[in-house]
Amino acid sequence: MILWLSFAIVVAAVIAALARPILAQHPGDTSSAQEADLAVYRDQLAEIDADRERGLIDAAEAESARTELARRLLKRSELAEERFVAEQGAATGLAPATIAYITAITIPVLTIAVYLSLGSPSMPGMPQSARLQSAPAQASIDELVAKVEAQLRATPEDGRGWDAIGPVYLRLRRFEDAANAFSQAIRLLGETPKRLKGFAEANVLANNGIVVEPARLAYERVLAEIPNDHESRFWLAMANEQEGKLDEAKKGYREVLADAPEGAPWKTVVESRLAAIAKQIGGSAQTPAQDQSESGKSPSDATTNPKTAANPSPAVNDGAAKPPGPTADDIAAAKELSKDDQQAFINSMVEGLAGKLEDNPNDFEGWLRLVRAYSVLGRKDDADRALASARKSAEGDTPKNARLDALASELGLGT
Amino acid sequence: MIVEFGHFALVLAVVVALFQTVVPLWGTLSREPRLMETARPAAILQLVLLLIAFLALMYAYVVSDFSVANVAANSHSTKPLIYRISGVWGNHEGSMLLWVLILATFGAAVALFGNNLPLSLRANVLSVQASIALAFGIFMLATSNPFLRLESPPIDGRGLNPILQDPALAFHPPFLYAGYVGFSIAFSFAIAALIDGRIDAAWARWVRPWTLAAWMCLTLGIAMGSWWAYYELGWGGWWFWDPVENASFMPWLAGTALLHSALVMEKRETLKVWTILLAILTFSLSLMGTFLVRSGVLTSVHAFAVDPERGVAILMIMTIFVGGGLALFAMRAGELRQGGLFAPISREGALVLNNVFLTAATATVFVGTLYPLLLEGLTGAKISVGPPFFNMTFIPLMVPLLVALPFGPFLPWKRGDLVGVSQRLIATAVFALIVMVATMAITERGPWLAPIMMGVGVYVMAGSIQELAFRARIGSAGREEVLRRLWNLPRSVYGTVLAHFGVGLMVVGIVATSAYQTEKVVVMKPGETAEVAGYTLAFKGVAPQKGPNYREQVGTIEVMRGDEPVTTLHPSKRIYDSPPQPTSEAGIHASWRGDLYTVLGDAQKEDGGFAFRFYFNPLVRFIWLGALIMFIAGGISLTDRRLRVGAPKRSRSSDTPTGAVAAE
Amino acid sequence: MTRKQKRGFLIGTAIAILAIAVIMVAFALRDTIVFFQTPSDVAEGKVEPGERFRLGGLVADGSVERGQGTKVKFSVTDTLQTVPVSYEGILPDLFREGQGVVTEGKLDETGQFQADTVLAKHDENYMPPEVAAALKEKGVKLGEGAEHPGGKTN
Repeated sequence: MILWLSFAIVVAAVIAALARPILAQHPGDTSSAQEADLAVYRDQLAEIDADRERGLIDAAEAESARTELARRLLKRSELAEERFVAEQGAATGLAPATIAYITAITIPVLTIAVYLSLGSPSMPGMPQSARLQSAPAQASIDELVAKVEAQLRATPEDGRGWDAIGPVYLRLRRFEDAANAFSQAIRLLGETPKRLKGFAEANVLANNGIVVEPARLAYERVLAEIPNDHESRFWLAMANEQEGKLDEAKKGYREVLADAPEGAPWKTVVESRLAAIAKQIGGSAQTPAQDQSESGKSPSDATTNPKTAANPSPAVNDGAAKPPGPTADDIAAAKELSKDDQQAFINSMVEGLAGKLEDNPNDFEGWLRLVRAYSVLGRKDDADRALASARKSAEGDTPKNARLDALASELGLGT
Repeated sequence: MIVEFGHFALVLAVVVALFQTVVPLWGTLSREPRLMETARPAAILQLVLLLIAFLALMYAYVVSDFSVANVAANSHSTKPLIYRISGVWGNHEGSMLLWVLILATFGAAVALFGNNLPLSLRANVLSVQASIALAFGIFMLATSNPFLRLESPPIDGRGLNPILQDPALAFHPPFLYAGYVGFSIAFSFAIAALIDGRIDAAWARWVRPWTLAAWMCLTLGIAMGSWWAYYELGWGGWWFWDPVENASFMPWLAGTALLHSALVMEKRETLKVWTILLAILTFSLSLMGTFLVRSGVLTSVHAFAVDPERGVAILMIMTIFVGGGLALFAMRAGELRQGGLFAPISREGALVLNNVFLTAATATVFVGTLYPLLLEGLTGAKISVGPPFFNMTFIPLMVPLLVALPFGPFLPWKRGDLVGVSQRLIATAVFALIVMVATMAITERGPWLAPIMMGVGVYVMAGSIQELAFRARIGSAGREEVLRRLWNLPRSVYGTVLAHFGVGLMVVGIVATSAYQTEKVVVMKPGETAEVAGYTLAFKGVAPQKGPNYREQVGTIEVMRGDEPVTTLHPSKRIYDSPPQPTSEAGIHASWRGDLYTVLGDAQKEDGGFAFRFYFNPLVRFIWLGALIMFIAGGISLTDRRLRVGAPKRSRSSDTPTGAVAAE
Repeated sequence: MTRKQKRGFLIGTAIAILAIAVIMVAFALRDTIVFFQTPSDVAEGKVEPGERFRLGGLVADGSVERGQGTKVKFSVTDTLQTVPVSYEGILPDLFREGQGVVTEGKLDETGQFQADTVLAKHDENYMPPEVAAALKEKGVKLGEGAEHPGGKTN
């Protein structure tokens, strides 16, 4: 309603402004063409005098310019008379009032017709901030995610937020975001098998089913906590298979099968992996190198289709549904790709390293690693502090101090 | 609601443009002053309405209202505020709205400050101006409406191309458009004169300041674009003769010619036909620039937001205005009276020479830019015309122009003495020769032409200073007299001197950079060093870092000169979050000698080394400094009382000219 | 000089300068233009070794090989034919496998394209018109799939 009211006000104002001169009794202050021309010439004459005064032109030049202008002025004033008469005698077609009425009708009709065909007057404005505050019951999952994301941007140190959003990202197939969220949760809240597995799974899925280095490390840590975790063992076996360590992979798969609960749905998957390995070993007369080059020729089945997304927990099931035939190239590529993820994973490692160094401050190489790690993570204050501790531990040792200086300047840390 | 109100305001503005096109023109044809008078409120209303629309769109960007399709497609909630604002014109729809808004601003300025224009001229000018706004308004509503809404808005936008997220580029389009669109005033005045069949004495007086203002904006806009390309693209170059660059350069060249010919027209009432034609051509080239950039018919590295179908619509608009303008010109040009006489050697003659060279140069750029299109249309062969073409054609035309340039301001109107002027310029020429020889002695390499061109650049600079000295009688008059004269010189003289000085400075920068650039591509491991143009660059290492909406790998390079540490440079490679796109950020050390320019390349696979590209660009800053000086010079000229828009007060009892000077 | 002579002199000078410009343009157009070819054109033998031209197409998936220092080898394909390219220098930011690219240089005797320029684009959605047109001509559908032809194999 307010919208339409404001439309009406604007249109009325426009019509009033346009009709006013048309309906005026006396046409306004009109300077006719000849008056304007004569004024210009007079001004130019004045300018010539000014220029002469300033010494821009010499006397002869000024004189000839003045003559020329005077001639123009004279000519124009003669011409002007005729023209003026002609203007007086001119006739208008329509009466001005009629034109004003036509205008007053046409403008609103045309504007509203065009606007209605293009605009969406019933649609309210939707600034993002307002949308994020809307009631959660009506909000879509995307909106909820955006809301949490906005919060996390404001408070990036809120571990619970990261912990909550990680599995959601996995479900939404935003694997890289998921990996980041899990690694943040690990950094802020500490390691739990659940977070480690989430982190590892996100990394595997982000890399098209390849068990990249950070994922492998994470699974190993899960096993340290829960030695018989099937999922972790399966993926570690898969990692071995992808690296071409077929014997170890076989052993790993067998172990998973050995204590699998009765009727587990993923058993068939493990079995099919075993069968595939057996075929590979048999077919290539136990020369893994040749084996790799062979499968490298068929990159079409090199990577898994990560259908797992919609259903994250029994990843074993899906991960194996499409057998990952690894190639040397893929592994190399995966290692390249995972650099960023490794950095994220370092987060959790760094705390352990820092703890160790507190107990054993003489581990100089450890300090170097810690300084670099903090700097990589963007935790500049911690890096500065670690650097100071390192200097303390290296007191009096010139070569060590030189290395610290080099490191500090390379990383742009305060000395 | 605000968005819808903006949409309504846009529609209403287009309807008002329709009114403004029809009614005032009808008024002049039927000699009804009341109808002519409507042009003024209509032009002001148009500006107000378009401003409302523009601010409404900006509001949608600032609050990230993704229910607006345009915002959803081009913005992102994590973007810093300044880039959310500049995002308004960082896309096709928004930039068209800005285009029309600037058009309306110029129209409203004529309406507001044009009190002393003859009524019929003002009505005609505003009517033509409105017809351009009408054409682009319909185009916008039909094909590129920025206010269309989305039924189910996304939660976040798609983001702005990261390399457009840059302060220089945020303000490059507004200036460029102000330049393009500013020439519409010259065009409207030309068409109005042709409709009337006569040219008022106030014509050139009016056209000159507007053309000058447009030219200033275009100069700055082009310079900003080139400066951005220089530091953002990581190629170390500042001009690539790319079609999109040429598209903005052609109106600049033609506009420069127009500035000079309008001067002749004002002072001598001659070259009328030519000036009118040039005004039409300049704006036509501006329209063509818009078309080339938007349509993507030409291969360009700078092409953004390209859409061939919209290109066709712009082509149609362009055909109507260019074709209509030229047809009207052909019909009516004969009726324009010829003006005063002049000898070939005179100020007028020099300005004609300037116009001939600038027009010929415009034509070569035009051919080089459009020939690929023509050839493809005719034979289907696809070709590219690159810098070699322009070096072979454009530069030979510029050299004689630059050589003749200092002569112009020394020549008097009507007829001049070439020998006398040559004698006055001897000191300048000798100085330039010394620079030439010195350059040859200092540099060991580079083309033979380079020292000569350096000399030409210096000669243009020195020539402009000498003009000032001559006007102030430095050397021949006493100190007080000189100061008095310097004080009394009209500002337009200072404007001329400065602008020509800027041209010379630019030439020096261009020649030095093009001929004596050092380029080096090396692979370095941390701890290794490289030598570039007398600098020692020590590579310290690469560390990852995180920015507000990107991650980056930042290299650290310590720069030494001899044993003196100079600076530490941080070239980096960035990956933006949304859209995920890599960019390079060059590490640049600027000094008066030139720029040391470092680019971080890819990591080597095996040994932890990184590829680097280093440039040393001598005197490269002079290029943009020259452009800045030209911009300032234009501004100084604009404040000159004689150029101040509007002529003469009504009162007969005009204050004495000397009194006016003293009052300033 | 009479009015006519003055005018004649001016017009004569203008025409002379324009004539010189036209001649320069004609010569420059003969000597400096470079033709644009696709890998199929190259395979059909449309270009002689040593002739300078622009080669455009998509960077073939899996073809980028970084050598010593800043040497790079990759292949340009129009999905029908492929031409190996070698280049020394730093590749533009938006150079990626499966993306459109325009390179300038010469063919050597072995049929390898020695590029001295690899053109970058500012906008990652932007496809050089020649590449788009050439690909369309060859019947390659443009769109999501065409931007990453290798994507289908995943």
